Amino acid sequence: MPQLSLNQVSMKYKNKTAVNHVSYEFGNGVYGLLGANGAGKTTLMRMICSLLPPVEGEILCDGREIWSLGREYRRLLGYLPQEFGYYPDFTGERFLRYLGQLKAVPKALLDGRVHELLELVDLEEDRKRKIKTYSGGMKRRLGIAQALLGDPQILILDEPTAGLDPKERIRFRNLICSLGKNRIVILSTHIVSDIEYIADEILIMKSGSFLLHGQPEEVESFLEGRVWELPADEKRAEEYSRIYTVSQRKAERSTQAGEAKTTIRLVSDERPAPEAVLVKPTLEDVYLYCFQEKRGQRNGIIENRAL
Amino acid sequence: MGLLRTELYKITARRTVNILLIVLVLFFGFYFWVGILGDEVYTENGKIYTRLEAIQKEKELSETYEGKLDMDSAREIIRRFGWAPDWDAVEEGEEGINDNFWNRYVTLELSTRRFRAEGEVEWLDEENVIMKQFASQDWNFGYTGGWDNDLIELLFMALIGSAVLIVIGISPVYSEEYSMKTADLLMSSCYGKDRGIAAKIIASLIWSTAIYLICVGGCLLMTGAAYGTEGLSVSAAISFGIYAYKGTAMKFLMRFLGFGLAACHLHTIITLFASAKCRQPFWAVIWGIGFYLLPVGSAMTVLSMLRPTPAVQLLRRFCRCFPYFLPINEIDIFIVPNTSRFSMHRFEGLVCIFLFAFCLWRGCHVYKKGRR
Repeated sequence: MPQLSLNQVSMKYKNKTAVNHVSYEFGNGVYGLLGANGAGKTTLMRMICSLLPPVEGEILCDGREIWSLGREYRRLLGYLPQEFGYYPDFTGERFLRYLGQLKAVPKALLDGRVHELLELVDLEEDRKRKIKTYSGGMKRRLGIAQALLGDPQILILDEPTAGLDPKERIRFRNLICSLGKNRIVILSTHIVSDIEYIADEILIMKSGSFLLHGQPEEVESFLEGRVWELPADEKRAEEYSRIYTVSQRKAERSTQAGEAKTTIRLVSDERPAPEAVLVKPTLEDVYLYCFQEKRGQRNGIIENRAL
Repeated sequence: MGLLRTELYKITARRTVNILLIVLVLFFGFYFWVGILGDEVYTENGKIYTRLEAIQKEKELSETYEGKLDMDSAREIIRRFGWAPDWDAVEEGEEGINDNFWNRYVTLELSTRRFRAEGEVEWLDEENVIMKQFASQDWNFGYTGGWDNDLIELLFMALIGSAVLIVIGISPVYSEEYSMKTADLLMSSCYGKDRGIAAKIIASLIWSTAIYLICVGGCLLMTGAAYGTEGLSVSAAISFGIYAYKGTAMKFLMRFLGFGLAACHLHTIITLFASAKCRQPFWAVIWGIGFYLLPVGSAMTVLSMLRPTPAVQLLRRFCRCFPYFLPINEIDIFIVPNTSRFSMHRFEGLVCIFLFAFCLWRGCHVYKKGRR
């Protein structure tokens, strides 16, 4: 199984640093790359896919620079871009067959592999239809199928669940779980629930750097003792939102006429109010905490933390 | 083979291009029917035959007059049919008029009508350089049929038409991968940066060759079907007026069309280069047409007005190495006296090879470099 290493990898555009001296080692398993829009996830993934050469640092596969490996490295890759492109007049089957040829799938195995993947993503019945007639979810599933064509050892999925309905997303999660056992799967998203249950490692990315990385429990434990729940009326809830990172506001039905109660869940180093109760942090709490703008009394910038 | 087939499919599946091709071929057919066949006139004792009937009448006379044309046979033609009439001067009801290919050729080449002299038509003086040249040549005379400058004009239209079609068809080859966002999928695949690109280039060349053959072949087929192929064995000097060329019309046409095919391939590679540079097919079309017309515009306007210094002459020669001019050069070198054909071809060959190699390499490089 390949080992993928990032050594001080950077990418700069004219006035912006998209990826800022990132270092990490990937082995077998599912890696969830979590970050808001503009965090640098897509740029990092494109560099891993040898689409963008880093301006500094290197990306190594089994100790060898991926750009010097060339075709040998790309043979190991499966990539689903954030903006998945297709040929509108191609049928699903023709599209997969074409990409299969580009991915060096042996001719004798190609037909079987195409049909197997179409079944896997539930597009077997629509294989003769032109892609332009597919729904958004169907196109996304086709994208996932093409990423799996060459039985890749390194699978890079950029926002793979965009456009999928809840049923399809659950199905996708189950699929990734099964795939992650003996390959590297790097999955980027800004939807926490997509990776919460399937990622072996979480990497939270912001402004081109990894803020936090580790196993999900470890990442969640970063906020241990700092996540609170407390009841508040609307006015107080608004006030807390201005001061703290609020991850949830849940309105409760009032038992008496005229009273509307809200339970809010927030992050604070200290107990925010006497009635506040400590609760177990979730990944979403950590995500929101990392990506909320500065609040009044909030603590300062988080450094890159390995847990 | 699978990759090549798919790349060909991507190019040929574009409905717009296929429709344009059909329109172009229909236009050539229309032009041939109206412009070329429409001009075919044969007059015998005042009776006028047109189009295919006229051609048939001309062919009947071929048996008598084809072969070596000398002063005896020229005089015999005039004795039998008289000088070809100046239709502007013919009065209504005038009788005994004969107008056919044979007396027309003799009248326009060997009489004072060649210089548009007024008054009675007479033979050129035998000491005249044209008469001397005529007497010294060993040309194979015959009915050129449609295998003459009308065909060259039609072929030239076909070359330009196919060039425009090639720009429209080939411009999306690279640029569409970016506009459709498929480039990342292709570039991250095993063969995406080598065999995939090679398949695109070969498919583009195959397709453009097919377009060229359809356009040009269509014109040749129409001419052959209407006029027959006898005119191909006539000397090119008689068919096309290129007196320095010694071979038959067929040999010259093969040469002309060979250079046309080379121009087509060079044009394809230049268009691919434009496609790689532009991320949108629309701009790739604009640049492709620009690269085709810029040398023409430069040579015919700016450069033609400048003093012929060595630098300007070199630039003119350089412009004439671009696809538009390649087939035309083959006519010019047999018309313009004292042209060193060998040095012309050597210069042309070097420039074309350089352009081809540069655009091919640079186009691949830019396309592979990808989206930043």
